[in-house]
Amino acid sequence: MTCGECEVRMAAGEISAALEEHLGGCDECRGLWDELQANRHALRAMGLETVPAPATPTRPTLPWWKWSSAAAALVLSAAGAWFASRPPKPPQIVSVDVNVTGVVQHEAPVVKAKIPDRIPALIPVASTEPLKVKMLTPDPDVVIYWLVD
Amino acid sequence: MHALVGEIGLTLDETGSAPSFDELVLRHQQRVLRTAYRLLGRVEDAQDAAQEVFLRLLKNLHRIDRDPQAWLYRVTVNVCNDHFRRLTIFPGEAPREHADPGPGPDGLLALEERKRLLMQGLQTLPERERAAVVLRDIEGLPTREVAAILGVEEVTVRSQVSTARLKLAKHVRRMS
Repeated sequence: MTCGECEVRMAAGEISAALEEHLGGCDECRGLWDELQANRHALRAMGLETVPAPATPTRPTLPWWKWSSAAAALVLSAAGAWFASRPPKPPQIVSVDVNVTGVVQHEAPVVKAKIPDRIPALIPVASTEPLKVKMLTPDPDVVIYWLVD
Repeated sequence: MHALVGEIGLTLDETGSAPSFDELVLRHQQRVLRTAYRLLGRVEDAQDAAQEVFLRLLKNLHRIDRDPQAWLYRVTVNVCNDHFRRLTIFPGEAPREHADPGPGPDGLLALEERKRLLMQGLQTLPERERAAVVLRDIEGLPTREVAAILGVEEVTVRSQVSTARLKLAKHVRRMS
Protein backbone atom coordinates (compact mmCIF):
# COMPACT_ATOMS: atom_id res chain seq x y z
CA MET A 1 0.00 0.00 0.00
CA THR A 2 1.35 3.39 -0.97
CA CYS A 3 1.13 6.50 1.22
CA GLY A 4 -1.39 7.98 -1.26
CA GLU A 5 -3.69 4.94 -0.98
CA CYS A 6 -3.25 4.98 2.79
CA GLU A 7 -4.23 8.65 2.95
CA VAL A 8 -7.45 8.05 1.00
CA ARG A 9 -8.45 5.09 3.20
CA MET A 10 -7.65 6.91 6.41
CA ALA A 11 -9.74 9.90 5.39
CA ALA A 12 -12.63 7.63 4.47
CA GLY A 13 -12.29 5.79 7.78
CA GLU A 14 -11.72 2.44 6.04
CA ILE A 15 -9.64 0.42 8.45
CA SER A 16 -8.04 -2.75 7.13
CA ALA A 17 -5.13 -5.04 7.98
CA ALA A 18 -3.14 -3.62 5.07
CA LEU A 19 -3.70 -0.11 6.38
CA GLU A 20 -2.59 -1.01 9.88
CA GLU A 21 0.48 -2.72 8.49
CA HIS A 22 1.37 0.40 6.52
CA LEU A 23 0.81 2.64 9.55
CA GLY A 24 3.14 0.46 11.59
CA GLY A 25 6.04 1.23 9.28
CA CYS A 26 5.33 4.81 8.09
CA ASP A 27 5.74 7.66 10.57
CA GLU A 28 4.33 10.22 8.15
CA CYS A 29 1.06 8.33 7.68
CA ARG A 30 0.96 7.47 11.40
CA GLY A 31 1.13 11.19 12.22
CA LEU A 32 -1.63 11.99 9.76
CA TRP A 33 -3.74 9.18 11.23
CA ASP A 34 -3.34 10.61 14.73
CA GLU A 35 -4.28 14.04 13.42
CA LEU A 36 -7.39 12.70 11.71
CA GLN A 37 -8.47 10.89 14.87
CA ALA A 38 -7.96 13.96 17.05
CA ASN A 39 -9.87 16.09 14.55
CA ARG A 40 -12.70 13.59 14.49
CA HIS A 41 -12.98 13.85 18.27
CA ALA A 42 -12.83 17.66 18.18
CA LEU A 43 -15.42 17.92 15.41
CA ARG A 44 -17.80 15.73 17.38
CA ALA A 45 -17.25 17.92 20.44
CA MET A 46 -18.05 20.99 18.33
CA GLY A 47 -21.35 19.36 17.46
CA LEU A 48 -22.32 19.30 21.14
CA GLU A 49 -21.65 22.97 21.76
CA THR A 50 -24.36 25.53 22.31
CA VAL A 51 -24.30 28.64 20.19
CA PRO A 52 -25.80 31.76 21.79
CA ALA A 53 -29.24 32.43 20.39
CA PRO A 54 -30.10 35.94 19.27
CA ALA A 55 -31.46 38.18 22.01
CA THR A 56 -34.51 38.96 19.91
CA PRO A 57 -37.69 36.89 20.27
CA THR A 58 -37.68 33.50 18.64
CA ARG A 59 -40.27 34.51 16.07
CA PRO A 60 -38.35 36.32 13.33
CA THR A 61 -39.59 39.74 12.38
CA LEU A 62 -40.03 40.97 8.86
CA PRO A 63 -37.47 43.53 7.74
CA TRP A 64 -38.77 47.08 8.17
CA TRP A 65 -38.83 47.77 4.45
CA LYS A 66 -41.21 44.87 3.96
CA TRP A 67 -43.75 45.70 6.65
CA SER A 68 -43.56 49.46 6.13
CA SER A 69 -44.20 49.22 2.38
CA ALA A 70 -47.06 46.81 3.03
CA ALA A 71 -48.54 49.17 5.62
CA ALA A 72 -48.18 52.15 3.28
CA ALA A 73 -49.88 50.23 0.47
CA LEU A 74 -52.70 49.27 2.82
CA VAL A 75 -53.25 52.86 3.97
CA LEU A 76 -53.18 54.21 0.42
CA SER A 77 -55.62 51.61 -0.87
CA ALA A 78 -57.98 52.21 2.07
CA ALA A 79 -57.86 55.97 1.48
CA GLY A 80 -58.50 55.48 -2.24
CA ALA A 81 -61.45 53.18 -1.58
CA TRP A 82 -62.93 55.66 0.89
CA PHE A 83 -62.51 58.54 -1.53
CA ALA A 84 -64.08 56.61 -4.41
CA SER A 85 -67.03 55.42 -2.34
CA ARG A 86 -68.02 58.87 -1.01
CA PRO A 87 -71.64 59.78 -1.90
CA PRO A 88 -71.94 62.90 -4.10
CA LYS A 89 -72.45 66.01 -2.00
CA PRO A 90 -76.04 67.28 -2.41
CA PRO A 91 -76.40 70.87 -3.58
CA GLN A 92 -76.75 73.18 -0.62
CA ILE A 93 -80.07 74.97 -0.45
CA VAL A 94 -80.61 78.08 1.66
CA SER A 95 -84.19 79.18 2.20
CA VAL A 96 -84.97 82.91 2.05
CA ASP A 97 -88.51 84.23 2.67
CA VAL A 98 -89.39 87.04 0.29
CA ASN A 99 -92.58 89.04 -0.07
CA VAL A 100 -93.79 89.30 -3.60
CA THR A 101 -95.21 92.78 -3.97
CA GLY A 102 -96.40 92.58 -7.53
CA VAL A 103 -95.84 91.37 -11.02
CA VAL A 104 -95.02 93.72 -13.85
CA GLN A 105 -96.12 92.48 -17.22
CA HIS A 106 -93.46 93.05 -19.84
CA GLU A 107 -92.23 90.88 -22.65
CA ALA A 108 -91.15 88.57 -19.91
CA PRO A 109 -92.71 88.52 -16.45
CA VAL A 110 -90.69 90.35 -13.83
CA VAL A 111 -91.09 89.50 -10.19
CA LYS A 112 -90.73 92.30 -7.70
CA ALA A 113 -89.63 91.04 -4.33
CA LYS A 114 -88.47 92.49 -1.08
CA ILE A 115 -85.44 90.63 0.08
CA PRO A 116 -85.10 90.57 3.85
CA ASP A 117 -82.27 92.60 5.31
CA ARG A 118 -80.91 89.71 7.16
CA ILE A 119 -80.09 86.56 5.19
CA PRO A 120 -79.12 83.43 7.12
CA ALA A 121 -75.40 82.92 7.15
CA LEU A 122 -74.33 80.54 4.43
CA ILE A 123 -72.58 77.44 5.47
CA PRO A 124 -69.10 77.37 3.88
CA VAL A 125 -69.03 74.85 1.12
CA ALA A 126 -65.80 73.25 0.05
CA SER A 127 -67.29 72.19 -3.25
CA THR A 128 -66.98 74.35 -6.33
CA GLU A 129 -70.64 73.66 -7.16
CA PRO A 130 -72.73 76.87 -7.44
CA LEU A 131 -74.84 77.64 -4.36
CA LYS A 132 -78.54 77.21 -5.03
CA VAL A 133 -80.82 79.64 -3.11
CA LYS A 134 -84.45 78.64 -2.83
CA MET A 135 -86.71 81.69 -2.45
CA LEU A 136 -90.12 80.98 -0.94
CA THR A 137 -92.98 83.33 -1.72
CA PRO A 138 -96.37 83.71 -0.01
CA ASP A 139 -97.87 82.01 -3.02
CA PRO A 140 -97.20 78.34 -2.52
CA ASP A 141 -97.25 77.86 -6.28
CA VAL A 142 -94.35 80.29 -6.76
CA VAL A 143 -90.86 79.21 -5.70
CA ILE A 144 -87.80 80.94 -7.04
CA TYR A 145 -84.40 79.24 -7.32
CA TRP A 146 -81.30 81.43 -7.38
CA LEU A 147 -77.93 80.07 -8.41
CA VAL A 148 -75.05 81.89 -6.82
CA ASP A 149 -71.59 81.27 -8.25
CA MET B 1 -55.09 20.57 12.38
CA HIS B 2 -54.71 16.85 11.71
CA ALA B 3 -54.42 17.56 7.99
CA LEU B 4 -51.61 19.96 8.73
CA VAL B 5 -49.92 17.45 10.98
CA GLY B 6 -50.04 14.83 8.26
CA GLU B 7 -48.93 17.33 5.67
CA ILE B 8 -45.77 18.43 7.41
CA GLY B 9 -45.05 15.16 9.18
CA LEU B 10 -45.04 16.62 12.65
CA THR B 11 -45.71 14.64 15.75
CA LEU B 12 -48.56 15.56 18.04
CA ASP B 13 -47.71 16.50 21.59
CA GLU B 14 -49.45 15.07 24.62
CA THR B 15 -52.31 17.53 24.26
CA GLY B 16 -52.98 16.27 20.73
CA SER B 17 -52.00 19.45 18.94
CA ALA B 18 -49.25 20.07 16.40
CA PRO B 19 -46.27 22.09 17.59
CA SER B 20 -46.59 25.78 16.97
CA PHE B 21 -44.03 27.74 15.02
CA ASP B 22 -42.43 28.93 18.26
CA GLU B 23 -42.17 25.34 19.48
CA LEU B 24 -40.50 24.34 16.20
CA VAL B 25 -38.03 27.18 16.61
CA LEU B 26 -37.21 26.11 20.14
CA ARG B 27 -36.82 22.50 19.04
CA HIS B 28 -34.51 23.19 16.09
CA GLN B 29 -32.89 26.50 16.96
CA GLN B 30 -29.63 25.09 18.31
CA ARG B 31 -29.24 22.73 15.38
CA VAL B 32 -29.66 25.57 12.92
CA LEU B 33 -27.46 27.98 14.89
CA ARG B 34 -24.69 25.42 15.34
CA THR B 35 -24.65 24.45 11.67
CA ALA B 36 -24.68 28.08 10.59
CA TYR B 37 -21.90 28.92 13.02
CA ARG B 38 -19.67 26.13 11.69
CA LEU B 39 -20.38 27.15 8.11
CA LEU B 40 -19.90 30.88 8.64
CA GLY B 41 -17.40 31.03 11.49
CA ARG B 42 -19.00 33.93 13.41
CA VAL B 43 -21.74 33.83 16.00
CA GLU B 44 -23.30 37.08 14.76
CA ASP B 45 -23.47 35.83 11.18
CA ALA B 46 -24.89 32.52 12.38
CA GLN B 47 -27.61 34.35 14.29
CA ASP B 48 -28.50 36.40 11.20
CA ALA B 49 -28.59 33.24 9.10
CA ALA B 50 -30.77 31.46 11.67
CA GLN B 51 -33.25 34.35 11.58
CA GLU B 52 -33.42 34.03 7.82
CA VAL B 53 -33.89 30.25 8.03
CA PHE B 54 -36.79 30.54 10.48
CA LEU B 55 -38.35 33.34 8.48
CA ARG B 56 -38.39 30.95 5.52
CA LEU B 57 -39.83 28.23 7.76
CA LEU B 58 -42.63 30.59 8.79
CA LYS B 59 -43.41 31.38 5.16
CA ASN B 60 -43.26 27.76 4.00
CA LEU B 61 -44.68 25.95 6.99
CA HIS B 62 -47.79 24.90 5.06
CA ARG B 63 -45.72 23.52 2.18
CA ILE B 64 -43.19 21.38 4.06
CA ASP B 65 -44.37 17.84 3.52
CA ARG B 66 -41.97 15.97 5.77
CA ASP B 67 -39.94 16.27 8.95
CA PRO B 68 -38.72 19.86 9.01
CA GLN B 69 -35.27 18.83 10.26
CA ALA B 70 -33.90 17.88 6.84
CA TRP B 71 -35.61 20.90 5.28
CA LEU B 72 -34.05 23.15 7.92
CA TYR B 73 -30.56 21.71 7.32
CA ARG B 74 -30.94 22.24 3.56
CA VAL B 75 -32.16 25.81 3.93
CA THR B 76 -29.45 26.54 6.50
CA VAL B 77 -26.74 25.35 4.10
CA ASN B 78 -28.23 27.42 1.26
CA VAL B 79 -28.64 30.54 3.39
CA CYS B 80 -25.10 30.19 4.74
CA ASN B 81 -23.63 29.63 1.28
CA ASP B 82 -25.34 32.82 0.09
CA HIS B 83 -24.19 34.62 3.22
CA PHE B 84 -20.62 33.29 2.94
CA ARG B 85 -20.31 34.58 -0.61
CA ARG B 86 -21.28 38.06 0.55
CA LEU B 87 -18.85 38.07 3.46
CA THR B 88 -15.44 39.61 3.11
CA ILE B 89 -12.98 37.41 4.92
CA PHE B 90 -9.86 39.35 5.75
CA PRO B 91 -6.66 37.29 5.74
CA GLY B 92 -5.54 36.40 9.21
CA GLU B 93 -8.88 37.19 10.83
CA ALA B 94 -9.67 34.26 13.06
CA PRO B 95 -13.28 33.29 13.64
CA ARG B 96 -14.48 34.36 17.06
CA GLU B 97 -15.16 31.40 19.26
CA HIS B 98 -17.75 31.68 21.97
CA ALA B 99 -17.13 30.44 25.50
CA ASP B 100 -17.33 26.70 25.75
CA PRO B 101 -17.97 25.02 29.10
CA GLY B 102 -15.38 22.28 28.73
CA PRO B 103 -14.62 19.34 30.98
CA GLY B 104 -11.49 20.64 32.71
CA PRO B 105 -8.50 22.91 32.30
CA ASP B 106 -5.99 20.17 31.40
CA GLY B 107 -7.41 18.71 28.20
CA LEU B 108 -9.32 21.88 27.42
CA LEU B 109 -6.44 23.90 26.02
CA ALA B 110 -5.41 21.35 23.43
CA LEU B 111 -8.98 20.64 22.45
CA GLU B 112 -9.90 24.32 22.30
CA GLU B 113 -6.84 25.11 20.22
CA ARG B 114 -7.66 22.26 17.85
CA LYS B 115 -11.26 23.45 17.55
CA ARG B 116 -10.06 26.97 16.81
CA LEU B 117 -7.77 25.68 14.07
CA LEU B 118 -10.54 23.50 12.70
CA MET B 119 -12.85 26.51 12.56
CA GLN B 120 -10.16 28.36 10.63
CA GLY B 121 -9.70 25.40 8.34
CA LEU B 122 -13.43 25.09 7.70
CA GLN B 123 -13.53 28.62 6.32
CA THR B 124 -10.85 27.75 3.78
CA LEU B 125 -12.79 24.81 2.31
CA PRO B 126 -14.94 25.03 -0.81
CA GLU B 127 -18.57 25.45 0.21
CA ARG B 128 -19.67 21.95 -0.81
CA GLU B 129 -16.86 20.27 1.13
CA ARG B 130 -17.52 22.54 4.10
CA ALA B 131 -21.22 21.75 4.12
CA ALA B 132 -20.57 18.01 3.75
CA VAL B 133 -18.06 17.79 6.61
CA VAL B 134 -20.16 20.02 8.91
CA LEU B 135 -23.25 17.88 8.40
CA ARG B 136 -21.38 14.54 8.48
CA ASP B 137 -18.70 15.04 11.14
CA ILE B 138 -20.02 17.86 13.33
CA GLU B 139 -23.77 17.25 13.15
CA GLY B 140 -23.20 13.50 12.92
CA LEU B 141 -25.76 12.87 10.18
CA PRO B 142 -25.53 9.64 8.17
CA THR B 143 -24.08 9.91 4.66
CA ARG B 144 -27.47 9.13 3.10
CA GLU B 145 -29.12 12.02 4.90
CA VAL B 146 -26.30 14.42 4.04
CA ALA B 147 -26.65 13.43 0.38
CA ALA B 148 -30.39 14.10 0.49
CA ILE B 149 -29.89 17.49 2.15
CA LEU B 150 -27.21 18.58 -0.31
CA GLY B 151 -28.98 17.02 -3.30
CA VAL B 152 -26.01 14.90 -4.40
CA GLU B 153 -25.13 11.21 -4.58
CA GLU B 154 -23.83 9.42 -1.49
CA VAL B 155 -20.56 8.66 -3.24
CA THR B 156 -20.10 12.37 -3.82
CA VAL B 157 -20.63 13.08 -0.13
CA ARG B 158 -18.06 10.42 0.83
CA SER B 159 -15.55 11.93 -1.54
CA GLN B 160 -16.21 15.50 -0.33
CA VAL B 161 -15.99 14.49 3.33
CA SER B 162 -12.73 12.57 2.79
CA THR B 163 -11.15 15.46 0.93
CA ALA B 164 -12.30 17.91 3.59
CA ARG B 165 -10.92 15.75 6.41
CA LEU B 166 -7.51 15.57 4.75
CA LYS B 167 -7.45 19.32 4.11
CA LEU B 168 -8.44 20.01 7.72
CA ALA B 169 -5.78 17.64 9.08
CA LYS B 170 -3.10 19.26 6.96
CA HIS B 171 -4.31 22.72 7.97
CA VAL B 172 -4.11 21.86 11.67
CA ARG B 173 -0.63 20.33 11.27
CA ARG B 174 0.58 23.34 9.33
CA MET B 175 -0.82 25.90 11.76
CA SER B 176 0.00 24.17 15.07
